[in-house]
Amino acid sequence: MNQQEIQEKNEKLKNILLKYKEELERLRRELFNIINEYQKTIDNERIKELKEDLMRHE
Amino acid sequence: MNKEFKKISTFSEGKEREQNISKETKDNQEISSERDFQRLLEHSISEVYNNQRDIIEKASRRIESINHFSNLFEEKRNNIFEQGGFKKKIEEIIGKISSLTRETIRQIRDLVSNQPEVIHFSEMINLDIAEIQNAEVGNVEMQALEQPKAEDAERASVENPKTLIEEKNRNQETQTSFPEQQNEDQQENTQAENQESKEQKELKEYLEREVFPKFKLSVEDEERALAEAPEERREILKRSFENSRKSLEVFYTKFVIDGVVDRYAVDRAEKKLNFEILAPILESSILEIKPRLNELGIDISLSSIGFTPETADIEEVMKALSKINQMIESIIRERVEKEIVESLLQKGEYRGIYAPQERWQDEEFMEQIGRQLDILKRQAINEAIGEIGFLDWMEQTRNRLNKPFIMQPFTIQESLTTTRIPEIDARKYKVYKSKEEITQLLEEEIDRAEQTGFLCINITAAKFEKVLSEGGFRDIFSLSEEDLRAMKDITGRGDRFYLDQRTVIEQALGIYNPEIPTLYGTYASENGIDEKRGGAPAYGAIFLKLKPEVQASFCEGDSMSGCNDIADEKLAREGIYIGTHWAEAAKRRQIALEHVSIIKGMNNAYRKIMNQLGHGVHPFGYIEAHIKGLKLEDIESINIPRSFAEGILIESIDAGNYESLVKRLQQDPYWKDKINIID
Repeated sequence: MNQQEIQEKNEKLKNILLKYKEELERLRRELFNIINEYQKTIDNERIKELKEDLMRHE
Repeated sequence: MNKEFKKISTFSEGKEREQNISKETKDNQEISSERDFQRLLEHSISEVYNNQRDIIEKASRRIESINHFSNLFEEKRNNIFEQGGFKKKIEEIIGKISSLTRETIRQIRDLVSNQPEVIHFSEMINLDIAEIQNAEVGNVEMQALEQPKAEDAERASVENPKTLIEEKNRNQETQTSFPEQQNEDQQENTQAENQESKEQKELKEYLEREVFPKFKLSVEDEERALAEAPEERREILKRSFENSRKSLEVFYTKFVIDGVVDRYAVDRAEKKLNFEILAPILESSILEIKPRLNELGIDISLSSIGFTPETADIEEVMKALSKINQMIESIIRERVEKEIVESLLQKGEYRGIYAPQERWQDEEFMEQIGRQLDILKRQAINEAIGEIGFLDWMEQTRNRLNKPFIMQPFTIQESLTTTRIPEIDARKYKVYKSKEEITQLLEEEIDRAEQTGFLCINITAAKFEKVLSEGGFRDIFSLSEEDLRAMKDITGRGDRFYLDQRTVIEQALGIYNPEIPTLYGTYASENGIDEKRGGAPAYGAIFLKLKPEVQASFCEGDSMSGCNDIADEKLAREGIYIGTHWAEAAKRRQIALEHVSIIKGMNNAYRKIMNQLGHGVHPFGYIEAHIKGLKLEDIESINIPRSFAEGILIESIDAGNYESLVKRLQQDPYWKDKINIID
């Protein structure tokens, strides 16, 4: 590989990595949004249980 | 020789020459940059691979933590996870991330389709990705999310408390075993279990005979104490006797019967294995290059590059080889310069460039010659370096050394097992202590806890300022709306969730009384940490030492989240899960003042042994103290580590300003004699 080829390939590599990082970040956010949703659902369920428990005690 | 070359080169000295030198250096860099580019590609591939691993690990940890603190029955939680579509969506995204990783690595690989070494490398990486998909996403990842085995065991454990531990042990052991060994291992396990129950029985007898009477925990001691105690204390005291005895049993079982892996021995074994795997590869690789280096007067061997069983590390090898590369370059440079000088002196010519001695005084001519000689010198150096092929050899060697490890990437599966290298069975490095050894240590530590124990409250500067300005402590139930909101932000829980849980637990412990606030502190004692930072430094750098007459009851670990290794193990053995059995879990860890030094001493002994074997203990494993109606007058001393008092260290923005608080307290007539700066 000569210098020009290396430079061209280096540019290509940068592009590949840039696109990859954008897409990975998007997927990461999507994943953690779902996990946050899961946490919220679990919390709400527990609060519901607690309220029921407290009502029974009253 | 450099001197002589410089003499000749003086003809072309000046700006022109400087430019040539810098150009030469630059050219050399560019020539080697093809290799740099290859390295960049390899680096990019491993980055892509690591990113995928990091995201999956973080997500897995987050889900594990949600499940752990969910306070919901597993069945219900699982139902939400599956029926709520969370499992499916998470699997889908992990699948997409894996595809993205594969596709990106393929694209990077395509950039170097002419480079066999790199293709080989990335093909191996691709194999890893497939493995991760199958192993992590398919099995390990979802296993972490579902934990079916642990749950089955936990359900079963309600009927048979011992099952959980046995099941847990079996799971752990299966993880470290190779498939073909599993049947064999299971047979061994059954034998081991029978043996264990016999040992357990013997241990119980020993405890009843030798240990419980020594620490006044025997049944007779209990009857006597209950008869003397006032009615309102009997329940807590009875519970405390039972809980202390059970904790001691777990503590002894852990070191006498179960054994603890010596992490330091495992580390040494891993290094040794690293050496055993890498030494033959490196040795045969060295044989290829040795004759060429010997010609240059350079010796190369495992010892000359510092490769020993204690230092077997690929990166260190590469650093040592880079130094050899620099040596090669400087030797060759000297040789070429010598050759040029000799050739010009003898023949008036070097590689077709004529510069007879009689023309050396002609500056213009020599300037041109100097430029041409520089180019020729560079060419000659590159040719000679290329002939030796050291950089190529280094690259090949790196790939050869990496190969055994590339095929076994560090996965979640591996992190769940106790060793980094699958070939090492950590169980072989377990350490067992004798009952007598444990008793002796326990006696020393309990004695020390009795002598040095104190009630302690760790608090931040901001909170203590508030206490001082309000003239007293508030409990959790009388916090302002603003404080409650702040707590909600920290815990991420819904309205009153924390308070409701607190109420249930306080009621269970018999300490709930809205009229008299309960303050939460710790029982601390000299153990290398408490005397410098207090019993629970995570709650604030200031630790208030309370007067000995202040009364309290106690809980092993945090009454809401557990996290005390011995107490957690005890609950697991009894089939109690802190997340769902709040009240029961708190009751089974409650300790009365009479026994707190025993439990604190035991925890200090536990920390000591675990640290000696290279393990940490949970930082929330403190002995929680419940103090009723605490007043400012109950504070014996205010203690602050010097680094905080002098503003060198800060905890966080909202922890307040320790430095200014200390200065103010030091001027206050009431507090000035009570404040201690701890070095």
